[in-house]
Amino acid sequence: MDDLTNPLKTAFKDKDYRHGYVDEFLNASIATQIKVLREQRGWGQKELGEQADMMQPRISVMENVNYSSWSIKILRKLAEAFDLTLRVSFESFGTRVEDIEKFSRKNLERCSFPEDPYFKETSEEAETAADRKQITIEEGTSNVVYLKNYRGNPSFTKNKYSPVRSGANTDSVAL
Amino acid sequence: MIITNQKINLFDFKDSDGENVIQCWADRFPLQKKDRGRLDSKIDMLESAGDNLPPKLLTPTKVRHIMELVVNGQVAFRLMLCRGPFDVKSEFTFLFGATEKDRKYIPKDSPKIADRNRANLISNPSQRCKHGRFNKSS
Repeated sequence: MDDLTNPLKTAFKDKDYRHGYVDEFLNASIATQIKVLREQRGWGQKELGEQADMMQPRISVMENVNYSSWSIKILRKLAEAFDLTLRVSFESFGTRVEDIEKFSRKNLERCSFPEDPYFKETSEEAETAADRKQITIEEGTSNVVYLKNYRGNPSFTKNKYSPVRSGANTDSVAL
Repeated sequence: MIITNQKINLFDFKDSDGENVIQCWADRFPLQKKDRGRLDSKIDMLESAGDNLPPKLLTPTKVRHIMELVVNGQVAFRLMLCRGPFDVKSEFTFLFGATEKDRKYIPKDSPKIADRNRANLISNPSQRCKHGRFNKSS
């Protein structure tokens, strides 16, 4: 829709026209996004209904660009079913023209929380967290038990399994 | 058949006198500015996204080949159209403008009139022109 800028800039100068245009676009984009989000998750309408505690026919009614009886309550239920958040705000017409131009399947898809890249740890963050929190105890072949940090660096400790070696410093012998 | 992800070409049917049937309908009705905005919004969506992405953007009628584009403004508008008819993958032709009241078309046999226009167009391919936007002052 990227060649609509000039025609819409002209046409939107008329108040009645621009409100009629964006009202229709709003209804159509909500209905389309519900269908896109459902298909993105590989769900049928029945499964979306189960997730949103609605019957399948109700989903079918809403997945229709001609449907206009939207309520925030229903949109919230759908958002929760998709594990997404809902944003409702008043916007200027300029930003709406951008939405119209970008209207496509790709731009309507959204990640559910588990796939949301904002909340995913990087591999470096994961290792650091593991260093601090993760300790593993491994049993050695000579009944020597080492406490190791996550990176595998051995550190000896005194315990009943410390071996007695000939010539070893008795201070290091088991308790 | 689904037309996917390519720019769609839109046409308006012209009668035997060379008059654009769709624009005449819009001007004679006359379509109010808000309704012109509603129609253009749906048609822009059809042109850019085809009939694949937006659900039920086009709905079938009881007449084969004839579909309708629905706009429910102050009046319930029904714009009759067909795929093609020459390139069914990349074009639609608007054939006739109607309204609906109490679940009845006005005129009553609007889909049949649209179908006749389609047949005339197939016989006379010059009887159409590029679709014009509705955003003119009423």
